[in-house]
Amino acid sequence: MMIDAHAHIWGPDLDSKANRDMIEACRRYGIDKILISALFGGYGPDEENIELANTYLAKFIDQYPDLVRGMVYLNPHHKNSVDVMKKYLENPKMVGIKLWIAAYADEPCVNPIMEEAIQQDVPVLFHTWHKRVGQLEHEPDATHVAVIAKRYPEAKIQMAHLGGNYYHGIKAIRDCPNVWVDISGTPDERDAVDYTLKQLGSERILFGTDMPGVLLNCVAQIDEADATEEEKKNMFYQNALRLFRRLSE
Amino acid sequence: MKKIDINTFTGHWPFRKVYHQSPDSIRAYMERDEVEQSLISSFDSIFYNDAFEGDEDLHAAIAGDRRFRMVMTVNPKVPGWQKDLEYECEHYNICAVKVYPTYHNYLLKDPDFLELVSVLEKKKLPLMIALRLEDPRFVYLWSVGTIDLNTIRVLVGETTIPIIMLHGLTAEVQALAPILDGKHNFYVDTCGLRYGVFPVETLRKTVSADSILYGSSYPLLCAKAASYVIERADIPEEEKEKMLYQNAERVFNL
Repeated sequence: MMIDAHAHIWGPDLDSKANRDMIEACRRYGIDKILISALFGGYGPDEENIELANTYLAKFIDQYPDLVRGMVYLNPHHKNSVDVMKKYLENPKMVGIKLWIAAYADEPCVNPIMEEAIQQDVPVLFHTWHKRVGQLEHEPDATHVAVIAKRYPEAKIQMAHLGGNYYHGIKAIRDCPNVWVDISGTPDERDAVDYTLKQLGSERILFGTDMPGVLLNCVAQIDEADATEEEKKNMFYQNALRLFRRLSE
Repeated sequence: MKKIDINTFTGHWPFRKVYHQSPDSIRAYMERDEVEQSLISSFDSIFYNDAFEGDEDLHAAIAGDRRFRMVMTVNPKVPGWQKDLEYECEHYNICAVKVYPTYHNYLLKDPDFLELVSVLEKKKLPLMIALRLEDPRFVYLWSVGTIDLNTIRVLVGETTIPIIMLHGLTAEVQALAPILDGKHNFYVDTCGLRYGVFPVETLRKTVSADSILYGSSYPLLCAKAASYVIERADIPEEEKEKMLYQNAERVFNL
């Protein structure tokens, strides 16, 4: 069994080649559930784009109800973000929240979202990267995630891409037991998963891909890791089932 | 399915601990993943002032093991490589030369590099060009440059020896598709084909199956990532065999 905890749709054409490839890949490679967020409207989406993103995501879920689950996309700067969150979480197939790069993870505007996520017992997925070159404005890294994780120890947090650079990211959140990390995206070094296993153990690592951007690299990294079969099961799906309560409902 | 990995390393990588860098680790990977032969070069040779000293150590580490074929590392900006190349051809049975222009800081139009190409033509030795070794966003301490893909296009047009571009990303390979047609003597490995859901299937629309070689950059990168893009692609088995080993046998005269 495999649960992909990090994937996207990028526009309202739900029948795009990228989306069809993503669904075909799930079928071909045995991915049983895929947790998708819809990233419409660029780096700082307005309220209209947020509404569109979540509306189209709900439609996409309806097209593939056995496979697709949703992560409600929010811009924390919007005054209505908690209302949007409540509205879309009424759909039981929306299983968590996605925040990208509209704000750093520890900005005060994120607090109400964290408080509502605790209330509803849904995880919040933060994009993170720490780059030598090309860091985007307001792009969070693991140090921001560590601050919000300590501010809200009851919150369940998913930190994307192993923090981008895992040498920067993993130790930053090592002492935050409420932070899980996903291996999605392009961190492609052979030792990324093994290093993370050494620092966090297998129960805080989630399989994710960032499809349609990346796929097989992420499958391969767990397959090739110096891990037991049980540890690989944790990473491929058992941790996701434990973290996302709504996946079991 | 049988494989030949054209891009493996041993030695010490200076910027992080690489967990499987010893020759025995490479052998274990080859056994696990059914890799019959690997073309191996040295991390040390990239970073030592005298690349030959790294190659001496590499030769000692793999001597007598027929599963390995050695690839010489050359920095053409350091004098004396000509005699070292003669020596390695005679004593180390090298099957190719590998260069790192972004680490050794020269362009592909540099006269010293062009002299290397000229010598390789006389010896009929393939040339591997590493576009990169790691994601530039990760680079620790030392910022490396990039290679202009147009200079590769020019080089391929002007030389008769096989040119193998290592660690090209999917989009970079796509950009060079017109010369990856099976007619030009130009090839790419698979360690950089991370982007996209079905990268090899997509590339196959414009790139010949004769131009793609299995190469992993192991142990720096994940070996299975480089093989899965071929093995799990929905393409004919004959094409997979070409990419996994037959093209390598032909290009490197193995």
